[in-house]
Amino acid sequence: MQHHEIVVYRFEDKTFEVKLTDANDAVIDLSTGFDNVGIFVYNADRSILAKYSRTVTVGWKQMDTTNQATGVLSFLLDSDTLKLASLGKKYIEVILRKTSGSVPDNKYDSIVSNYLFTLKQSVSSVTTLP
Amino acid sequence: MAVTTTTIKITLKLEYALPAIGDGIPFSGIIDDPELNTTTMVDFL
Repeated sequence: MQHHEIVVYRFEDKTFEVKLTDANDAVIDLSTGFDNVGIFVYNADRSILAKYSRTVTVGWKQMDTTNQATGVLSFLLDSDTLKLASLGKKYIEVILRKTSGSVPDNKYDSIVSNYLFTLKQSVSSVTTLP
Repeated sequence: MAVTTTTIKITLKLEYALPAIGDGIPFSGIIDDPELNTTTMVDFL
């Protein structure tokens, strides 16, 4: 569990690069064995701020899977989303659907959730600059 | 429009082994508390 604060300001565009490792710090190869991977960014009340899918799906944003073989997924949290978001702590949850003919399309494993960042209002965004 | 951003890098370490196939949550609702925010139900992926 990380305790240091990561600050993102409203109206920023931020890219998050998330590396998934197992309990022994070995990266998880996401390039094989999984039909899909999903990422949620959610508020303290567990309402969802943004959701990302590895596959192209209506209503879901796309994530960058270039380095998924080394357990790395990237996603953009854009200013259009953040300008409407409530201030405060935001969290991440990652879900996986393993490859199997017998697993229904909506059957996912929730593998990890954690604090992601704290959204703050910058002072320059609430005043008129000279 | 191309968006230039700074990147925040984090590592998420699983405390447990990956679940076996079929152990997953039947996923059609919000993350883990259907009592909250029913207006923000997520769609099927």
